[in-house]
Amino acid sequence: MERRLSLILVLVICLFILVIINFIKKDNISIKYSLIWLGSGVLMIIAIMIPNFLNKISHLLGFELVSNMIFMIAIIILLAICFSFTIIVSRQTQKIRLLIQEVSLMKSRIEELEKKK
Amino acid sequence: MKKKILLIIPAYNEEKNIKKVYDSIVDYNKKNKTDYHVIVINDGSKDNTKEILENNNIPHINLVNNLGIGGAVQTGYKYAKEFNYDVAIQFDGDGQHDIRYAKKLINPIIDGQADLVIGSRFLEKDMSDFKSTRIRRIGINWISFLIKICTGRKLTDTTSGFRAANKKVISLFADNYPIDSAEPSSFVTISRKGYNTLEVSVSMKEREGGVSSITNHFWKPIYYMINVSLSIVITSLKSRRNS
Repeated sequence: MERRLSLILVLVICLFILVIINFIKKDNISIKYSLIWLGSGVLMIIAIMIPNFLNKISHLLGFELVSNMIFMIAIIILLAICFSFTIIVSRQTQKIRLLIQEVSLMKSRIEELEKKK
Repeated sequence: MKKKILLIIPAYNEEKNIKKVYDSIVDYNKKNKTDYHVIVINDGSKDNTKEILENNNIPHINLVNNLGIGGAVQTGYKYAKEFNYDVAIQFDGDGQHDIRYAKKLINPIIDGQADLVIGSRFLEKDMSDFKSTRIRRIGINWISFLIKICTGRKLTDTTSGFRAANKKVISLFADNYPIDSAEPSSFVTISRKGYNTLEVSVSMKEREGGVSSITNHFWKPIYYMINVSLSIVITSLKSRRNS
């Protein structure tokens, strides 16, 4: 990869990581869910910084073009992240349902007690 | 000892029906000297259901947010468990079910004949003046067929929301209730647990107002069929012990 391009890419990824850290600071993203994004950012930087690393790996795996390998890896990682979101959303739906039910039951009980007073 | 009986009535935008339904139960209690308790679960209705419930002193729980029929019914089972009811009956808030049949559902439970009793529209031919389209029949037959394969038990009216449960089943439903495909897959769960189920014949009226939770969009029935089929198969795959 041309040196100038790798430099630009590294800068973009660094910016991405800074944005994430900023979000964590403002408590908008919990550390638990930010790790996967930070981790993938750091991995990307490493892959870019090591000269010829991507070329060698893709050749070793039998890809004709480096870009093919990168696209495939990117799609797999994105699918995995999406899938984990589906799991998280399903779990949270269950928790929210339980909360709504318990709060509603409690509320009606409190109203009942207050009426009796 | 007298059994404590609770009618769980889920209601979503039922301002036109809910008072009529409640009055019919109060009326029945008076005439037959029964003591059926009622709890209406107001599932975040957007109309005046809440005001009607409050103004008429109808026992109710207002869900703080809309949960859908499954979540509302489960809240009723939680309530039944909390207050130690012996029998809980699901009863529709739209006037489809007839309170006179409640006794028919309760008796097998009190006799210890069954743990879950389902009121079926299709058990006897002459009871089925309930109009249903051919497509709906195909859907019901398909679910019925799947349940037969997965549990070995016959269930003619798979979507019937007129059911009575004993203490064991109340406790199970309070903690674990399939939300999207409640009626068919909870039947599978109950069968897998080895509880006794029984269908009794009831007749139902056409709904007097409100819309079906299944057929109000053209894609909904398709989604419902896929969802229910999958959930029946998966539920029957769950192991007996830890599900």
